[in-house]
Formats: sequence, structure tokens, C-alpha cells
Amino acid sequence: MKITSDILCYVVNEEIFPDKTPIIIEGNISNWIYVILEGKAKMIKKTRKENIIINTLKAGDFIGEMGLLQKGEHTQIFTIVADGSVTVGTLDITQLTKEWNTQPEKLQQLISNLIQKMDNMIEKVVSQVETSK
Amino acid sequence: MKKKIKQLPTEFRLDYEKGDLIIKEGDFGISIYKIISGQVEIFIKSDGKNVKIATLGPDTIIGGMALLTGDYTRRVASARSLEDSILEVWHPAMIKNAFKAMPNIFKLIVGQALKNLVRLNKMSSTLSLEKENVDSGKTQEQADEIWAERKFYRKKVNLECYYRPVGSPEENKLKGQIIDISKGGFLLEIDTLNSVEFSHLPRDKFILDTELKPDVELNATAQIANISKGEKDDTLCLGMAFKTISHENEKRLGFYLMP
Repeated sequence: MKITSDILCYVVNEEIFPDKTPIIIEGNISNWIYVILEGKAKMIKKTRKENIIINTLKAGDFIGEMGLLQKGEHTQIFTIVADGSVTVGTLDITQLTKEWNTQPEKLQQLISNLIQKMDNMIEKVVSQVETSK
Repeated sequence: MKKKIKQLPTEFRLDYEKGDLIIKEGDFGISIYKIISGQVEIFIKSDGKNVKIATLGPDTIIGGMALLTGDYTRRVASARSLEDSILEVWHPAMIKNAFKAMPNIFKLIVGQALKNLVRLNKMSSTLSLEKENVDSGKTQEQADEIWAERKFYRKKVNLECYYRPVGSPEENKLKGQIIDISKGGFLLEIDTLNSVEFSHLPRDKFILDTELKPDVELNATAQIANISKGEKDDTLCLGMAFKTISHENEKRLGFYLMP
């Protein structure tokens, strides 16, 4: 995916993660948001039975974005691991938070609700994996 | 001259008693509801029965997906109050312009969340099916039996078609592309976002309408046998097996499949 200036204007730093390095770790509290500029990363969810790969993220995809759209501190619900060398852009969280907070409250609620639906669905999938024979 | 300011609709609250229907599947509706208190059950009609999808509580928003996807169609599920409940009703005009004006980066983030939600729905459906097979003592091979029925000559095609769940109104139809077809079934390529509109689980039955050639229509019901990722980005491929097909439609298909 072509990364447009709409995203690049928020990039304040670039970082390279070598193959198999975690970019974010499930359970950690983090407010960083990244965008993949080059390479791929695996989105992994831990269960008591096995680790499941939810998705493979590619250039233009965001990492850690769910925290921005929900109020308060956000515990990461996935581990994101570099699949080969990955270059990510760190987004300007202060600016993004400022802009997000100026959005009308109802719009914020609607989008937060979508993130909540995703959280619930992840829990459902984890429970299904753990109870599968 | 005084400029007339367009008045946006304001939100209001509605009280529902236990058992009251809030949204009816198939109706055209654009309002967004926020549950203030109480509990609401979401369900769909399948084969004439009500199938529960979820039970939702306070602070949950119902009916907002259309605004995020930009696809206003008929309601794809019903909502009923499970106890005395209060819901706040929003007109989408209250937030539609704000959504349009939102910085593009937020729209991209929302788009990614929607795709992940579709992916997780699909994973959950696959896991449900596997569990159902294990619980009923079926092997995967046996579970794929209906798909094996279509091991006939397959014709590569590119047919636009419309489909909707059996028992749902015609207005609920969604578009797909048949990419191969045989006497036993067909491979249907759909946009992943279609699975947000209604359930796309293995064994779900759909009514299908397509045109094999100009003025040669094919109408039948078919069941999802398996689901896989499509070749194009953001597409899914549904392996469909015909369930009911009239003699006349079978004949048309037979002629169409002749080399």
C-alpha cells in the first residue's frame, strides 16, 4: 500500500526492527502508535493452548492504534512481531491525541464501540481456542 | 439577509419494555441507538427461527456500522429489549459530517479495525464449525461431504450474482462474483465487508440469483461448504453447494455447462 502524506505528516521517527523482534508486547501498557513503512509483521494473540496468528500486517498498516481510540490507558491485547526486517514510523501521539479529542463525542463513542466489539471478538476467539479439543 | 442555519436533529431517549422490538430485520432504518440502561438481544431469522447473535448492555451502540462503512442498507438483524431499557436515539446526520471531516488517518485506522473485526468473525465461525464437527463426532472429511458433491466439471466464469440469507427479505441482497460453477455448486467471490452485513458461516444457506447468459437466469438456494481468502485483497471465496434447484434451473445450468 502506498503511504500517503496523510500518514507521513504524523511520522516523527523511524525505527528498524530485525526479524522476529517484538514491536509491541501483549499485556504491556503503551501509548505508542506506529505505521509500517516497509516490511511485514505478525499480529499474535496468546492463549493458554497456543499462540494464534490473527493477521499479517504490511506497509500502511497501523500498530498500537487501538489505544488512541479508547479512553484511558490501554493494555496491548496483541503481540506484534517483525516478520523479516521491518521499518516502522513512530506517529506523533501528542498531535493525534489532540486531534482525536477534538472530534465530536458521539463520533468518538461510535468508533470506541467498534474497538470494543473487536476486543470482545478477540476474547471469544481465545475462549474458543482454549476450549477446543 | 439573515443566513438560515440548518437545524440538526437532536438526540432523544426512548423507554422500551421487556420484549419490545427496537429494530426489525429487513426494515430500512438509519438511526443509531445507544443503550443507556437495560439489556438488548440481537437476533436474526434463519430458516424461520430466531437465532441469537449477542446480548448487549449499557454504553453499547447499535446500528452504527452503516455510518462507518458508508453502506446504508436494510437492517440486517433485529434488536429486542430483554428487560425494561432506555435507549438514546441519534440521527446519523448528527455525526455523518463529522465523520467526513475527520482527518484521513483516523478513517484509515477505522478501516483497519473493520477489517480485523471481519477477520476475527471469520476465525470465530471456523472455530465454531470445527467444534461442532468434533462434538458430533464428524471428521473434517465427513464435514466436507457437501462440498464433495460438486466434484463435477467446473467451468471458469465471471458471473455477477446477488445473494441473501434464506428467509430474509429481497432488499437484503448483496453482490458477489461467481468465478467457477459446476452441476454441484460454485465458487463465489465476495467483498470481506459483506460478512459484516450478515452471517457467512459454513452451512449458512443463501438464495442466489444470477444471469448465465442474457435472459437466461439461474435461481437456486445454496449452502456455504467452506470459506477461504480470495485472490484479490479484501475478498473472501465461498465454496457453495446447491441445496435446492428446480428442474428448469438445473436444465439451464446443464446447457450452460456444455462445452
